[in-house]
Amino acid sequence: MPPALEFEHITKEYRGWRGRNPVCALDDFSLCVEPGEIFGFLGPNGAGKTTAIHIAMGFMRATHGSGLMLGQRFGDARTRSRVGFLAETVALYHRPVDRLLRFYGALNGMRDPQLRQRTREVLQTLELTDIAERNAGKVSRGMLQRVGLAQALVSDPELLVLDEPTSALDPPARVAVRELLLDFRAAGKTIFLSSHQLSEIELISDRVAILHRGRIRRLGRTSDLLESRERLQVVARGIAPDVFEGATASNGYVTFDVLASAQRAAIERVWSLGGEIVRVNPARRSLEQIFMEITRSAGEEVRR
Amino acid sequence: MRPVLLIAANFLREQRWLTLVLVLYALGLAAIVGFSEKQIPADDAIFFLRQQSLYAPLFSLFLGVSAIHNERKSRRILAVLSKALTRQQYLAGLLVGIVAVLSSYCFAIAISGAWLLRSAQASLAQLWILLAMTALTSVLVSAVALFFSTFMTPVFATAATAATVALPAALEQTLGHGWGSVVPVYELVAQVSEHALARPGSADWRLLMIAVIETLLFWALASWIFAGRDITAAVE
Repeated sequence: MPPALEFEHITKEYRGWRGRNPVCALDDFSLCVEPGEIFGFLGPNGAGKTTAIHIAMGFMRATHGSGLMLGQRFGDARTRSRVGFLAETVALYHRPVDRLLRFYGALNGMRDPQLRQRTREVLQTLELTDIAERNAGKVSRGMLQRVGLAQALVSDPELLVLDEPTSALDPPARVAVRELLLDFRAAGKTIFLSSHQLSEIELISDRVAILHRGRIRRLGRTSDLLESRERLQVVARGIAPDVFEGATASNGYVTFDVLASAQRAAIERVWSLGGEIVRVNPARRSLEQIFMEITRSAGEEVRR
Repeated sequence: MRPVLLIAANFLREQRWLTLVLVLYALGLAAIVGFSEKQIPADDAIFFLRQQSLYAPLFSLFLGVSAIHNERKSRRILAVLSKALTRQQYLAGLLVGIVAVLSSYCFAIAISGAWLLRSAQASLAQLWILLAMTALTSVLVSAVALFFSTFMTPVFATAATAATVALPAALEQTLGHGWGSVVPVYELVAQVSEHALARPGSADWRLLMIAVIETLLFWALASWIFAGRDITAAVE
């Protein structure tokens, strides 16, 4: 089975008038998204995430390099009928929501009665039935984002490419979308998800790539990234919290991180102080911590 | 063909208020002319028809240069081009949409012109030729405008379209016969403005044929250029 999405050494430069002031948005960017996974695509503003997505969708061309989407070259119109896309800025025509969905479905080659049936299903799934006859130009931003998601889902795609799909949603709607994406993956489909909602990516992504200044700085399984092999988290009791640097105390338990190489010494120190080790686990960091570390160190690299 | 018609219908829908204004303008003006006098002179009716027909290429210029720009600026183009249609089909859809808007206007001119000519007891025999020339001239202008708008901002595209349309006319005036047919907008406009409805067979079929071929040519060139263009600058 070919990868759902494959970027091969893609470089994208934006140039000014007569090629002046080139800005490199993507620099020898390579990435492979496997079928059936939720792939979290992270990066600060200006990292090149939207550029990569737009190249994959065929909205723009790479300066160098190429790529495949569902086994076909980027920009292949027929392949796009198997892809659902939601842009960062949801911009849709001002017409009733149900007719709008039918329009986008028809552009993907769908016909009645399948189109009618699918439109009804998507409206129900995204809880849009109540506003089905309302003009899309007159709904709230959160609702519009749901309508945008509905147009991406209307042709029952194999691959979903979502650029900030939950940025305007309230918490219950976010949870609903998260569950929807998990159901989508359970059906064997692929999701390529760009987001600034790191906690959300942490919850649902199988793999994550962190992009900074057009380059991938970290790539791997979400669980592997979050669990450090070099650092361990020790929980002890019966000792004062100020014995170990950075230790925190709660309900008589003292928690602190140590390097794996210093694990034995730390445990012996707890024992020598009359304390007791409760548990030792690989230190787990949040995606936000990793993200901040990477963007900070990449920023320092650039300054040097 | 279906995606082309969907885009065209959507364009017509997006431009419905403009279309309605154009139609009402043509009908309203005809009503003013028609009801102002008991017996309308045939010359007045013909003048009305010619004048309204000459506005059509101007409207098509503005529709052509702004069609892509509006979609890109609003970013609605992203959701459309993320579907299974080629850029060629997208441009064809816009062109057919412009034709639909202009056809509505031409239809309004036809109805109002027919009514005025009947009131003036003038012949209607050549009315359709005048409207065919008007429609084809307008479609050619919109194809040229659409072509330039694929790689220029609306202001430059308007200037470039005006220059492309005016240059053959200028060459015709300075270098002589034949140049006016290169992009035959000026030649067709001149024929419309001098059109005598009573005289049979006054349309230059050769020019109409050139207009059709060049419309297709400009659409093909526009598609070729547009296919290689980045339609979005990154939001970031």
